[in-house]
Amino acid sequence: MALTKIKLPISVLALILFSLILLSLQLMSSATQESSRLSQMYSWLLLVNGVGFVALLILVGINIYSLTRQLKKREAGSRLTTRMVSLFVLLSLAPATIVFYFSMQFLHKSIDSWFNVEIDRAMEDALELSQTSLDERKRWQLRKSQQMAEKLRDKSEISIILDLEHYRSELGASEMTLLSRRGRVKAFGSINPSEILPSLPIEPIRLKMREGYVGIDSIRDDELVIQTVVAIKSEQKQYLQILYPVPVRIADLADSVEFAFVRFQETTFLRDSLKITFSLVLSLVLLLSLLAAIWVAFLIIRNIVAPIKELVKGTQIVAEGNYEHQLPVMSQDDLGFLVKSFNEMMTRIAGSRDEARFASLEVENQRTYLETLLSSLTSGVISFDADFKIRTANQAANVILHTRLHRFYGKTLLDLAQQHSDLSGFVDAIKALLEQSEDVWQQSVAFSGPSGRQELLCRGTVLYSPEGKRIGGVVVIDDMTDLIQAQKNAAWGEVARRLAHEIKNPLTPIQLSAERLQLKLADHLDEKNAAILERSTRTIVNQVDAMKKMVSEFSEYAKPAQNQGENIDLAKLVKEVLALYTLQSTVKFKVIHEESLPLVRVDPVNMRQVLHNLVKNALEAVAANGEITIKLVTINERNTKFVQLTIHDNGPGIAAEYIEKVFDPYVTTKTKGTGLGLAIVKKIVEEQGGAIWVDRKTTLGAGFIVRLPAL
Amino acid sequence: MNGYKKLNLIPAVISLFLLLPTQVYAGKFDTRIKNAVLIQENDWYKLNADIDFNLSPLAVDALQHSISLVWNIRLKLYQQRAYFWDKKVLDFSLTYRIRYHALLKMYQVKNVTSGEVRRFFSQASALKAMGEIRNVMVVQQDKILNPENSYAALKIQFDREALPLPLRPVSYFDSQWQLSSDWLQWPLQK
Repeated sequence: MALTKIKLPISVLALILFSLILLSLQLMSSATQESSRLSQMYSWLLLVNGVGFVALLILVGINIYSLTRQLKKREAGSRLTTRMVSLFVLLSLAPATIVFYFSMQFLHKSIDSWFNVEIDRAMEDALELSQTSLDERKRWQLRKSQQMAEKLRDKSEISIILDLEHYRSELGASEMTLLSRRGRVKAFGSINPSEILPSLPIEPIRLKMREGYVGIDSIRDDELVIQTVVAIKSEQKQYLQILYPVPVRIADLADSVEFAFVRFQETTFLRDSLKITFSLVLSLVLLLSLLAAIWVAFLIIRNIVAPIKELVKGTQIVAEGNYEHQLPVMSQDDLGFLVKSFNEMMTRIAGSRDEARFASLEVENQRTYLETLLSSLTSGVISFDADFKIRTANQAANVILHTRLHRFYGKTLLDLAQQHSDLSGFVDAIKALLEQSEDVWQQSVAFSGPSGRQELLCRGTVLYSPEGKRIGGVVVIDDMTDLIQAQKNAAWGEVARRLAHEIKNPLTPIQLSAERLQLKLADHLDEKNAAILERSTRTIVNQVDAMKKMVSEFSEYAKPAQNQGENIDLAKLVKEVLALYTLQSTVKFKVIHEESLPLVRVDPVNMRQVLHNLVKNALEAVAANGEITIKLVTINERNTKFVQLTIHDNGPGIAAEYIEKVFDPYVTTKTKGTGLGLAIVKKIVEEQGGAIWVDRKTTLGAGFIVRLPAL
Repeated sequence: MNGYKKLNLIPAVISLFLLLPTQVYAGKFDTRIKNAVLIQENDWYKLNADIDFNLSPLAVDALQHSISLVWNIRLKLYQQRAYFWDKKVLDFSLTYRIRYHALLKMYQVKNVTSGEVRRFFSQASALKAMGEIRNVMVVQQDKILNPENSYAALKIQFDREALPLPLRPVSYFDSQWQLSSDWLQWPLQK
C-alpha cells in the first residue's frame, strides 16, 4: 500500500491533516452562527466535511482490509499491528465517546433551556399587548374616519374635493382619498406633496363593509399606517380612504416586539433542527478527529512494527537454515539494538554450525576409517546392543558364518539360529556367554557350514558406558578350521614320519632273514616241507614288500613338500592325464573348460598325482558305463582370480557320515587301499596354495572342487 | 471488499445521523405549473404563468412560525441546434418570498426582484396571488434571433438556502421540503 511509502515524515503529514480538519470544522461551526457571512456557505461546508469524512472512512477501511488480509496470510508483524491498532482505537474511542456523550447531553439541555414555558407566554403576551394597543388605535382612528364621513355627508363632491387637504390635516392623517361608488379615485391628498396616488391599494371588498374597514399595513416595508375605508352616506355614495400614521415610537415598539416574537417563533419551530444541526457538527468533529487519528495511528504503528516484521522474517529465514542472513538496522533505538544483537547471534550460530560441521566430518572420517579397518579384518567382528540384538557385523563375519548378517541387524541370535539351522550350534555356544559374562570370555565352537566342518574360536567382551552400565557386547570370531587342519596334518605328518622310520628299520632284516631261510634251508628239506618253506618265505617277503610300500607311501605323505613350480595350463594337463584312462576304460569322460583359462603355477608332477588320485577314485566309484565330468572355470572371489576344477561322477556318492572325514588319512570305503589317496591330494593341493573340498551340492554321485590361484 | 461495503452504508448512516424519520408523504404537496406562456407585447416578451403552490404540512407549520419561504422562478430560452446541444439564449429569474407578519396577522408576499409587496389575511389567498404571474417583462423581442427554433423552459425552484441554517441540511433529505416544480418546456412560436 502506498501508505507505507510516504515520503513526508509522518509527523508533518499528521500535522497537515489535523490542521485541515480543524480549519474545515471551524468554518462549519462558524457558519452555524446566523450572523456570520459563512452562513451562506453552510451547506457547502457541510458537504466538504462530509466528503472528508467519507474519504477518511475509505482510507481507514482500506487499511483495515489490508491488515485483515495480512492477518489471514499470517504475515510477519500482522498480529502485533492488529493488537496495537485495536488497543489504540479502544483507548481513543473511550474518552472521545464519553466527551461526546456528555457534550451532547449539555447541548440538548442547553437548547431545551432556551424554551421556557414562561418565556413563551411572555412573548405571546407581549405580542398580544402590542396587537391590542394597535387595535385600540385602529378603532379610534376608525371612529374619527366615521365622524369625518358623517360630517361630509351633506357636503357636495366639489366642496369635499376642494377642502380635502384641509380635512386631512384636521384629522392628522397622512393620506386621504375620495373614491367614487365604484372605487375610482376622485380626489387625493397626502402629507407628502410629491405623492399623487394612494400608497395602499383599495381592495373592492373593503368598500362593502358596512361599518367601514380598518386595518394596519405597512408602506414601503417600514412605516406602519392605519388604513380606514368608510362610506359617505350621501346620495352619490362615495367612499373615503384615510391613512393615519402610527406614531414612530409606537411603531418602533410594535416592531421590536414583533421582531422578538418572530425570532422566538422561528427558534421554537427550529428547536429540533437546531439540536440536530449542532449534534451533526459535534458528531462530524468527533468522527473526523477519530478517523484522522486512527489513520495516522496506522501509519505510525506500521512504522514501529516494521523492524519487528524484519526480525520475524529474519527468524523465519534462520529457521530454514540460512544463518548467513543479516538484518538491516533501521533505527538507533531499542529495536535497532535488538536487531544488532540478533545479527551478532546469527554470526555466532553460523560459526558454531561450521565448527559442528567440521567436527562431524572428522567423526565421519574416523568412522569410515574404522569401518574400512573392520571390513578388511580377517576375523569376524559382531557387535550387540544392550538387548543382545545384533548391531553390526563386518564382512569377515559374513564369510565365516556364510550368511549376510546385515539382514539380522536389530534381531537376536535366536532369530539368526531360526533362519540358519546350521548356525544353531554356534548360537547355543555363545549366547549364554554373551548374555551372562561380565568380562572377557573365550570359547571354541564347531559347526557344520556349507563348506564343511568349521572350527571357530570366539572371543567376547562386554561393552560398558562411561557410567558403568552395560550397553552391549562384542564377539570376535576367528576361523581356526584351516589352522586346526594344518595342525592335524602336521601331527599326522610327524606320526607318519616316525612310524615310517621305526617300521622301516625292522622290515629289511625280516625280509633278508626270510630270504636267507629260503636259501639255506630249501635244499635240506623234503618236497613237502620245501613247499611249505617256500610258501611261507614268499608270504613273508610279499607282506614285507607290501609293508615297505605302505611305509613308502606314508613317507611320501609325511615328506615336506617338494615343489618345482611351473606355469601350467591345467586343461592341457587334465587332458593328458585322462588320455591314459580313456583308452582302457568304458567309462565316459567329459572335459569342459573355458576358452582362455589362466595359467596356474604348480608342480606338474604333484599335480599329475592329484589328478590321477581323483580320477582313480572316481573310476572305482562308478560302474562300467558311468560318467565322469571334469569342469574347469575361472572364479573371481574377493579380488582374487582362481582356476576351479570340479570332478563329478555318477556313482553312489559319498555317505553322509564320511563326508567330514574323507580327506583324513586312513579313511576309506574301499576294501583295498591305504586311505591316503585323498589325504595326499589335499596335502598337495594345499601345498600349491589351493584348496579342495567335497561338493555337497551334488545330488548324483560324488563331486570334488579344487581351487588353485590363477596367474 | 470491506471498503466498498462501507461506502454503501454512508447515506444510511447520514440519514440515521440526522435522526429524522424519513416519512414519505403520499405526494399531496408539490408545486405545479398549471400553464405558462410568453406573449409578445410592446417589443417585449412577457411571461404569464399560473402556479399552484401546494405546501406540505411541515412547510405550512414553518410559515406559521414566521419562517420565510422563498421560491426562484427560473426561465430559460434555448435555441435548437442540429449538431451540438441546444444553445442557451436567455437565463432569467424572479424571486418571491412569502412570510407571516405576526403583529399585523397578515401574510406578506414580496417580489424580491422588484420590491413589490402585497399583503393578505389568509395563507390561501397569499399563495394564490403569488402563483399568478402576469406581464413579467422577460426579454426584448429583437434579442431572440431565431424564434422559430427556440423554446422556453420554466421551473419554480424552492430556495433551500434561504431557510434558516438549521433547516438547510434537513431540507435536502426530507420529502416535505420537496417544494420545487419540474421543468416545463414549450416552443416559443406555435
